Amino acid sequence: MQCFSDSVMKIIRKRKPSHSDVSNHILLREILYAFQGIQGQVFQWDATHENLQLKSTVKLPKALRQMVLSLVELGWLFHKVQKYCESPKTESTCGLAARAFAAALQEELSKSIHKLTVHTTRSGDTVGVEAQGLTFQRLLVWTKEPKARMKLLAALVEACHGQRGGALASVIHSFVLQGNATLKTVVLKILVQVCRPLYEMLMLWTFEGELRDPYGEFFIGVNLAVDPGSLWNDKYYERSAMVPNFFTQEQGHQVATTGKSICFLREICLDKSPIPGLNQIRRTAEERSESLLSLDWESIEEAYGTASQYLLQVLLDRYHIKLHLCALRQYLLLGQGDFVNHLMKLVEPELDKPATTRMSRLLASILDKCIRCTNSQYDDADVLKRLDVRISEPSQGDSGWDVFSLDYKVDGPLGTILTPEVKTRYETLFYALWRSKRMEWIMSKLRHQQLTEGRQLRGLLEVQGVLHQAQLLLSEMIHFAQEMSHYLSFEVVACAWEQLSIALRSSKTMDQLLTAHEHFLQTVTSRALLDEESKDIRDHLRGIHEAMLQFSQIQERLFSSAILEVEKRQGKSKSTIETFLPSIKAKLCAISASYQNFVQTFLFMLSSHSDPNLQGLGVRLDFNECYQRKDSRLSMSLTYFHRRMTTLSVPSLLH
Amino acid sequence: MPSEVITLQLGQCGNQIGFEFWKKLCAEHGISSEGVLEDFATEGVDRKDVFFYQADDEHYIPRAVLLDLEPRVINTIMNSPYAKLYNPENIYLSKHGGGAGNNWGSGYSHGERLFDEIFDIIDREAEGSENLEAFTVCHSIAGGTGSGLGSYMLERISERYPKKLVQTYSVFPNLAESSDVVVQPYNSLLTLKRLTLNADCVVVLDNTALNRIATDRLHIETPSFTQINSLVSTIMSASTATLRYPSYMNNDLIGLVAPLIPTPRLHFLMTGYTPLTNDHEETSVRKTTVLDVMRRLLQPQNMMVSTTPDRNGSHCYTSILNIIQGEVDPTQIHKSLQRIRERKLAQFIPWGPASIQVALSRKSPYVTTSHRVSGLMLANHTSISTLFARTLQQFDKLRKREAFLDQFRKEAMFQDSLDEMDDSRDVIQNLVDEYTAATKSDYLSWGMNRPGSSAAGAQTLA
Repeated sequence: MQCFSDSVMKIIRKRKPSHSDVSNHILLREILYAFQGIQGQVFQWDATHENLQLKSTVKLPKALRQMVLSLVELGWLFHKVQKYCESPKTESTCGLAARAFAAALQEELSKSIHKLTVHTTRSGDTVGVEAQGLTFQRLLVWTKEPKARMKLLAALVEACHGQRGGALASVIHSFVLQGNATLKTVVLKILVQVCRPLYEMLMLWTFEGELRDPYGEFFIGVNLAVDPGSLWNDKYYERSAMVPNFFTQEQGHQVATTGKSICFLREICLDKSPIPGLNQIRRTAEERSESLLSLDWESIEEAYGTASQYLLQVLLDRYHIKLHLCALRQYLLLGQGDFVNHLMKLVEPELDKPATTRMSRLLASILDKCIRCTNSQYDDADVLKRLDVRISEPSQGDSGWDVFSLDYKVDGPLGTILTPEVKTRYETLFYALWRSKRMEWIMSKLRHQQLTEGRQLRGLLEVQGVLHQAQLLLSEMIHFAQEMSHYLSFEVVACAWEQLSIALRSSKTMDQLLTAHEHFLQTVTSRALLDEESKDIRDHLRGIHEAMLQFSQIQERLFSSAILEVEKRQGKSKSTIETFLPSIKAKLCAISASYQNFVQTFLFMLSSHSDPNLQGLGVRLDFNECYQRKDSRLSMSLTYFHRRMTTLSVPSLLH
Repeated sequence: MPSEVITLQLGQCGNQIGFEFWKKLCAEHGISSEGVLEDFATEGVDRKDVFFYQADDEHYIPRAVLLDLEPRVINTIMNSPYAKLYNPENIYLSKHGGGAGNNWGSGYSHGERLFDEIFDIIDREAEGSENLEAFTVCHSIAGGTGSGLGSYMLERISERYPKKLVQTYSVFPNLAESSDVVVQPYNSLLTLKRLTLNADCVVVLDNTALNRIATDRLHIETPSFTQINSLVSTIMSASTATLRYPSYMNNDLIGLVAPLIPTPRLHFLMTGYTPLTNDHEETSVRKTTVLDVMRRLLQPQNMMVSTTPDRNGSHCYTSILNIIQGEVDPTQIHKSLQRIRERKLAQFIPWGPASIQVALSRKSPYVTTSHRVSGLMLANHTSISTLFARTLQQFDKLRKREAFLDQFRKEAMFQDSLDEMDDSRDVIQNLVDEYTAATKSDYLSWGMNRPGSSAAGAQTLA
């Protein structure tokens, strides 16, 4: 640049000024005007290039022309910046940060013009008289610094086009890192101004949970359409584009969560009292920082910790979150065994009937009765008040079992943690656990029948063989139902609960609590075969349950017919044993075969499941390798090689 | 209240172990010796109503019926601090007071004579409960009252309450020392028949093993009845823990026994317990793990039944339930089971699926013990039949010589013939045969090959 200017000067010196059509005097004056984008005798505005061009009538030597144009470039830059400054003022949608940006630019422009004016006036009373000292050369020197500055501003303007709020700050901030110290100061000065409204928003949000952001420039947004129940998850959201790039993700998240915690306390817990210690932290923060750039992150982090912990404490102490999570485990996940058993007994006659929505009142009264005469009566009154039955909309052919579930009513802060979506997942878990429990219950009833009513059949020698078969098939089914229940209660619920309890104890923030609970639900869902991956295997489990239910009918028929036969023989009436025994025998054989088939395929599928817990279930179900001896596929599946193969081929085997 | 259980205590032995059992339950539930809830017992997680009911004055009263034909043990109870615990109307002492003279026949015919009086008590007790699930009988099979009256009661209860489960805690005689009851083999065999046909689940408490444990494990040179009975009551309270401390599984008796019993006859359960230590003894410093507990429960020296060593190695478990009480990490259960499986520490039946069930149960917060974790094993193991085979041998020895039969011939049942004895022998022989059959993989077809054989004894009863 320097070299170029020198050579130009030499050329200019050689040539007489009179060689040009315009006098240097006029030219210099015109250039000074042009700096501010003003066209005159020499320059005219070229709208297409948004530039000042020499009028075609003006003839200048090539070198001078080039120098003049180079000088005038400043005007072009000036114009560009000026234009940006003027536009956002009219478009209010561009927001406070953009307005502050424009103001800061304007200030810079004025300053530059002022500097030039000072220079030029210092060299003469009137503008642009060569004799009085203003020369192209001097002008070149004087404009060097303003031009660099203007170039930067123009580049900023270019880059910031259409940017607002936090995003604008981010763009400007990316210009901070550059070698020129003076320019860096300029950018920082602008950035501080741009960030001022954002800083105020941030402080207001962080310490008061108030969102004062009329133009949507802050990195926290609010969705007013959302109902209060989902305040935590959906109402306030982070606009990632608006997070200033000089914040780390963690810092942005901390700011967001702090304000959200305060909002939660105010709006959901209806707790307007100040959070202890927060005001002090705010004062410290304000003392230590005045702009977004020099934000005292230590204070922000402290505010985040204070607000989150306070909120968590309120939830734990005032809203008894742990109690309710525990209640969900005891009731929806069937942990309260005596209650569940008794409920099963009481609702069974009703749920065996076809489903109607009218059932709910009767079932609710059964629920009350069940609570009164089990240990649940000692449970927290608030928990019992929330416990209810739910009858979902029945479809054609549904029995009560298909539509019945327990329900746990939640509201206020509790409803925010146990959102409708979370409750649906609990309901799904309830159905699966309840079904498994019901199988266990039915199996126990059948065993009870074999033990007690079986005594009456001792004299009936013809049925002893088929009874023995029924007894052993039942043993097999009981084993399955028990192992399944055991797996669900320990490997699924208890183990995940243990993790959740540990996480709850160490949780310091609401987010940690929610994450821990989410993890709990996910673990339980996938281990209980309720996720997408286990769909086929779930179908097989259903098949096993169906076989159990069919067996239950066969045994019922066997016992009722056989007891009738005993009575007939005692009354010396004609035996009807041949009318029922062969068909029951055949049915028993068939169900036995189909049951075993289902179980073996189920075990095979478990053995190649990706979740080691489910592989473990398979091992437990065949603890003494009884199925493995019967089915070569199962002994194969225990080898590593096979497991690798099955991950590739199992889908095809299933169909 | 769901699943209530009525306990019947018969004879000296039955009342002694019953007494220790109630003492233990009172301590565990925080109930004073007079039936009043202690001030500290406020936790409310236990179910007291399975075994107790509340009288109008808030007293907790055991659902227990105490029967004896001679006054000694019942008098001891009535002179103890627990005298006021029981409902006095539920204590029946025969007016003759002469006892059954260690004769099964005498005990049985006492039962016939006292039927009305005894069942007045039992019926009243049964009507007083809302959802009676089962009767639990505590008795010995060797003497006169527990065995004879016990046998009679078992028959009548299964007739009168056909839908209720009948569980017994039956004390088997100590075969290691010579008994002063010479007719013990007769008594045992005749009782075993009723235990086979009229009970749904028999927990075998073998005095031979209990004495061995007391001397070998607890280092008591000459164990007293109280010491042995305290062992028994520990087992009884642990085996009812899941009923009394509700959790996800095994909350009623049928849920507890259904997986343990493969066919209605194979219902004789062994128990094992750990830790077997004196209360004064220092326990090891290392924390007890679930695996430790499960492994110890599989060791023969912790079993409360002394079976004959298995020469062929064919005897096996049909099922196992481990009830573990105390602070246990549930995540350890699966790993422990896998270790036991890998090391093949337990041999199972070859004809069907079988495994170790684990129930975690609470421990009473009101009773302090030196150990943090304790375990009870309830197991159905085919080797229990060796105990019956031994009884058969001893019976055969006496029967061959027609020894000591005079006392029996005095009773109505044996006046005409000794058929009842031979019939009982058949029932027990069948039981031993079925247990042996259950060790083989063709057990599934056992019933088909021998139609009705298992019911041979039943016909005389039906």
